[in-house]
Amino acid sequence: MRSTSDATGAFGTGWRRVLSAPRLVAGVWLATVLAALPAALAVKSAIATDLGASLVASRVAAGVDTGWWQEFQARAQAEAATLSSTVIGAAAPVANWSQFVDAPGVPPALCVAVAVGLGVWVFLSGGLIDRLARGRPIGTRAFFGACGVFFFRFLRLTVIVGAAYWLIASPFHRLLFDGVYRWLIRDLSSERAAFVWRVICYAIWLAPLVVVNVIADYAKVRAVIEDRRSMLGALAAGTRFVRRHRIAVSALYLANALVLAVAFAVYLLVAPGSHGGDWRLLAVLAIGQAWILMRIVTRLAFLSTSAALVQRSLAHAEYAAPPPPVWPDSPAAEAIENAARFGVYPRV
Amino acid sequence: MRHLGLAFVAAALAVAAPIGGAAQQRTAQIAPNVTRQMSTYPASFPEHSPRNANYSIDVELDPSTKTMTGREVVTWRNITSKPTSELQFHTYWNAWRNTRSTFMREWLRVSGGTPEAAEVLSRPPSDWSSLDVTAIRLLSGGATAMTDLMPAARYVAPDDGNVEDRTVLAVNLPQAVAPGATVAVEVAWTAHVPRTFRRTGVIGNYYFLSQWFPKLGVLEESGWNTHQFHMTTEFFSDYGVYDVRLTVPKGWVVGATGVERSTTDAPGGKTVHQFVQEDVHDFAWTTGPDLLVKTARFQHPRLPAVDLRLILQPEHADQAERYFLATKATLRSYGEWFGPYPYGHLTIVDPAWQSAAGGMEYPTLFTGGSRWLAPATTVTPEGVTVHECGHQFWFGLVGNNEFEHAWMDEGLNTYATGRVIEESFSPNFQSTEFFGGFIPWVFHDVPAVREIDGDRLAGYRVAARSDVPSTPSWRYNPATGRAMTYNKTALWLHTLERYLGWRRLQRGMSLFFARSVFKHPQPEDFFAAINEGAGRDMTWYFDQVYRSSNMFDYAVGGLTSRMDGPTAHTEVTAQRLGEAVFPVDVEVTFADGSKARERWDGRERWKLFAWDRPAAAVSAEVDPDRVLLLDVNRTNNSRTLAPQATKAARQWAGRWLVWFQDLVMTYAFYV
Repeated sequence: MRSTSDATGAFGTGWRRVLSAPRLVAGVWLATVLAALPAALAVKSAIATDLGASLVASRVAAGVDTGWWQEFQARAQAEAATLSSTVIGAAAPVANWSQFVDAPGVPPALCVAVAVGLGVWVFLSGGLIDRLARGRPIGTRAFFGACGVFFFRFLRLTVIVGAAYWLIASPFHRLLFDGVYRWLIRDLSSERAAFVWRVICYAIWLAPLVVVNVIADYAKVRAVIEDRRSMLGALAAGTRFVRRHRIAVSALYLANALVLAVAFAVYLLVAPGSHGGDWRLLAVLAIGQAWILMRIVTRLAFLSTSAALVQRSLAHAEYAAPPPPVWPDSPAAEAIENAARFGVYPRV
Repeated sequence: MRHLGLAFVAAALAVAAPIGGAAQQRTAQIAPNVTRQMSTYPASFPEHSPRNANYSIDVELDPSTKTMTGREVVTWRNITSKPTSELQFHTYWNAWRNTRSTFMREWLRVSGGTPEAAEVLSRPPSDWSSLDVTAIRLLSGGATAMTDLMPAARYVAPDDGNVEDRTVLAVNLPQAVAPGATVAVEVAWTAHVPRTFRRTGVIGNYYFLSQWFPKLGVLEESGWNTHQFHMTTEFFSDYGVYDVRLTVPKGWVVGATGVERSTTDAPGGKTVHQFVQEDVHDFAWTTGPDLLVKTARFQHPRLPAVDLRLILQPEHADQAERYFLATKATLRSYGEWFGPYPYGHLTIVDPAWQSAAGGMEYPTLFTGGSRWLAPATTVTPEGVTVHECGHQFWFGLVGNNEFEHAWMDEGLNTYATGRVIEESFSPNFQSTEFFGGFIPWVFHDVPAVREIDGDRLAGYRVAARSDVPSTPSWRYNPATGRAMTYNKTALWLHTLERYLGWRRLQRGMSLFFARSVFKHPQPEDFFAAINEGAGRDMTWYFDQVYRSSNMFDYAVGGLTSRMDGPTAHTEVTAQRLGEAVFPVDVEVTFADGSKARERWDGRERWKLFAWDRPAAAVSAEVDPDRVLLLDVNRTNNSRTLAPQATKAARQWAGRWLVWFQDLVMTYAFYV
């Protein structure tokens, strides 16, 4: 019962903290846009160059011109070669999730751009957790200060956890899907049965991934809240916490995942299709970025609700208390303080 | 002219002949022990096929060992003008006996290193196939009846000399078979059914069996035409009567070429199913315990009725009507365009998942193929159903040599399939599959386009120069052979349709059909029929698209338009960037909405067109009606003085940005 109430309370507290930090969310969103923009501009340039002064451009501007798409896909290089129909509407997240579970990995042309994006996340993580754990504005300087303090710690953590992720995404994935799954379906003549096995394999593969992810998140939270310098210690602390509060942790994780699922369902309904036009482009960008915002908000909520659960469970509530005011250090301020304290006023 | 007129009348009769009055009963004593079959062929058809290769086959399938034991009596007549002292049989299943066959060597050259190749190479010996002839006896037609011919049998490799390829078995005869003479041989064999590979084999309890018996090659005036089994080719054999008795476990459903004549219980919990079919050149069958059977009937006021029998997978039970609709659309369209389907019955097989048997044609039977989730707005299973049903005409009734001229069935059929889909199943939409290929995703605002999706333009573009299409198909580059056979042919036929008009092309194709039913036509027969139907000599075109590997690429090299007083002087430079030549139009659009068009013969490397008009030009385009579908670069066919490239780039880069951000967020969840 206590686990449930802890999870419920942490869910509410965590989401409240995220939703009451719009500048934080906007800042993160802006950072992801800036990290992605160079690659997007490269794609834009490649499309424009390929179309040149051709009349085909007006059809491409209006929607999908399949003939040109196929020509472009045959000619495109680097990032532009990744342009496909899966960028249309809600196909984008579905394609990304499908690629993630079927063949984890980033297209080679995008490795650098994705690495930059991930680097931005690692850098911001410390400040984000600090801000969300305190539950109150901390100012830009304090935010980036926390980012800087925890960046190299989280970099070390990422290397350690990254090794676990690699094991899961590479050899374990191959063993499961190229080995076990193929053996399971070898003599099947029913596609439906094969799909059931595939879903089971997805679940088996995702389980350790989720476990590592959860432990890593709580390790980061405890590293920030408890100002831990050792990331191995943080991982141990995160593991202990998850083990001792597994019901609450699981409930929280599922609740947040459900929110993401609902958000996706809404996006599925409203995502714009392939037709072009100026106002449609605005709609594409607005609705598309709203989806990205939702993903960011949900990710922050995972961190925020985790922090709230740790604080509720381990009496770290004082972490959220505002710091004592610091009297500004200047002669005028000192004079005012003296006057207030000793009743001495400066002669005018 | 008179000759053309008579030919046209014959073709018109082929389309218009009523079913009842003009239909004739055909009977013929084919060979000993072959049951007569009453067939109803249109009056425009030959009385029957040459029936020079007749098979009476008994085969028993043993699922416990996945083997077949068979015995056949082959009655063969020499219809050439020269005697022959040997018979040559195809023993196709030896292509997957090991990796040293010609087929496997070619396949591994293309597919080696892929997951599919790794899976095949890791198969245990029990998953590979074999076809071992255990006895050959001369029954009649020789000096001595019941002569044992096994000592005179040897494997030959007429194409590449590969001594390890055992897909052609040559048998010396004690006495030559004179022109017009008949010989009967009895062949016994055992075959091991492979785990599904290239359209045949077993998966679970589902069997699809094609090319499963020793089958004679074709004796032509120049000798035996019996190619080895190649990766890029299909099959070629003579017409005859097939009388086949299939012994399978009791209770198993059987679908096969022909009509089921009898079902008899046999000892050991088995059943013998007898299927008979006249005037066909192959026999395939399927069996299994879990299959559903549905029936329907095709009827048309001017075409013969056809009884349809669908052998369906249980998980596709709700798709029966889609199969029937697609089959009926094909029988109707092909019948109206080219000529009637005469057999009166047709078996449609919905193959099992992983059977590798889908999308293939056999006389009076074809395999479609569907998915567990098949959205109604896509053409699964309609696309493959139309295509394979269409092969009943191009392959079944017109028996081209698929080893040497595969385009004559695959290319013609791909072209015609695109027409049927456009006419009967539009709009349909592009789709893709996610999550292991199981979950379809339909792009409901991206309709499929016949000249791009139906004619498979993308595949052609990659392979445009890889081979001269007149090269025998078995010698095509294996990596691009399919694009040559299917895609390029469909595109040049579709171009021809746009250039000549559908009626002229249809006239030519129906002429070719009428002249080639139950025969083995050559490419020149097709070209002659098209020339005749079109009423003009298109040899210059066939030289480009069939007898060369030249590529088409026209472009607008330059567009200028400047005001000179009250008049605007416009100049357009049209270019020929490819080696191939085709007459094209050059059209200019002016600011006042008017247009001007000139015809260019397309021969020079470039040509300048100029106009003086009150309004300046806005854009210029080469081939504005998109007649030349073989043009490999459509983007350079036009130019505008008000480019929209930036606007188009913004549209798609904006969408790409969202996709990319989502990609980063997917991985950022874990950092």
